[in-house]
Amino acid sequence: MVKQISNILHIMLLVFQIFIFFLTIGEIIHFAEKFDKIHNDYFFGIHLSESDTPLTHIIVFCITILVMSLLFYLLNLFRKVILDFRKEFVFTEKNGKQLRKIAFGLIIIGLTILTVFLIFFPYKTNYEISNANDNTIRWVYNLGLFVGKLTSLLFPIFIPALFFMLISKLIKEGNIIKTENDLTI
Amino acid sequence: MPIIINLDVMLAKRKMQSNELAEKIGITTANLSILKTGKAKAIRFSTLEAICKELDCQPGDILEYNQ
Repeated sequence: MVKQISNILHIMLLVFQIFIFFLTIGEIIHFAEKFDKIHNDYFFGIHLSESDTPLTHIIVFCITILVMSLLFYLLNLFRKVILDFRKEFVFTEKNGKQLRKIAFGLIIIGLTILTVFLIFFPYKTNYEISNANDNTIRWVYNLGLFVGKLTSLLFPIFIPALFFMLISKLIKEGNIIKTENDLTI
Repeated sequence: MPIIINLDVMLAKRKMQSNELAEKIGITTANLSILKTGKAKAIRFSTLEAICKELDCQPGDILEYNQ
């Protein structure tokens, strides 16, 4: 059963990794081709338009590539862990360390997105609701939008990160119990 | 660890080889080696019983507490 699930997960991760790879290549080609006339750009739900400076576009592009590369690396690490699971080497110190790395990597990605979001959110939101006359409505709308967007961006990153951290702790504890069991004569 | 295994002393007293004892008590020589070198984390009562039976000794002859 574990072997079959590991096989399916391994294939899914491989497909996802290939997808991320081509997405990164596509992003680089798109950026290189339309470098002089960038109109629209998206970074995890934040819309950049022609009103933004080229420097902003370049910074956002670089951060996107870095985040994607990190995601690719983390997927590769997770794939290696799944390969170990397939060989039934579950409770090993290496697996615990790799899952911990994945958790920290996800936290880094989350913090990067959070930083970019906090930098760009204020003026992007004000631009979106400039038609609202009442200050209270504007404030409540802004707050709701802020919390909603932040939650939708960070929940899918921080929850798996915490999950991976928990699994890594379990594997570490499992490794201690396994070692003790192996060394009980 | 303050618990010392004196298995090699007992083996020498009884003039018995490690692999012979391992075979008699039904554990592998690798596991007996782990026990002899003090790398073991724990010892089962059944293993201790078997060793004591084969070497005709008390658990205290094999295990020693040293601060």
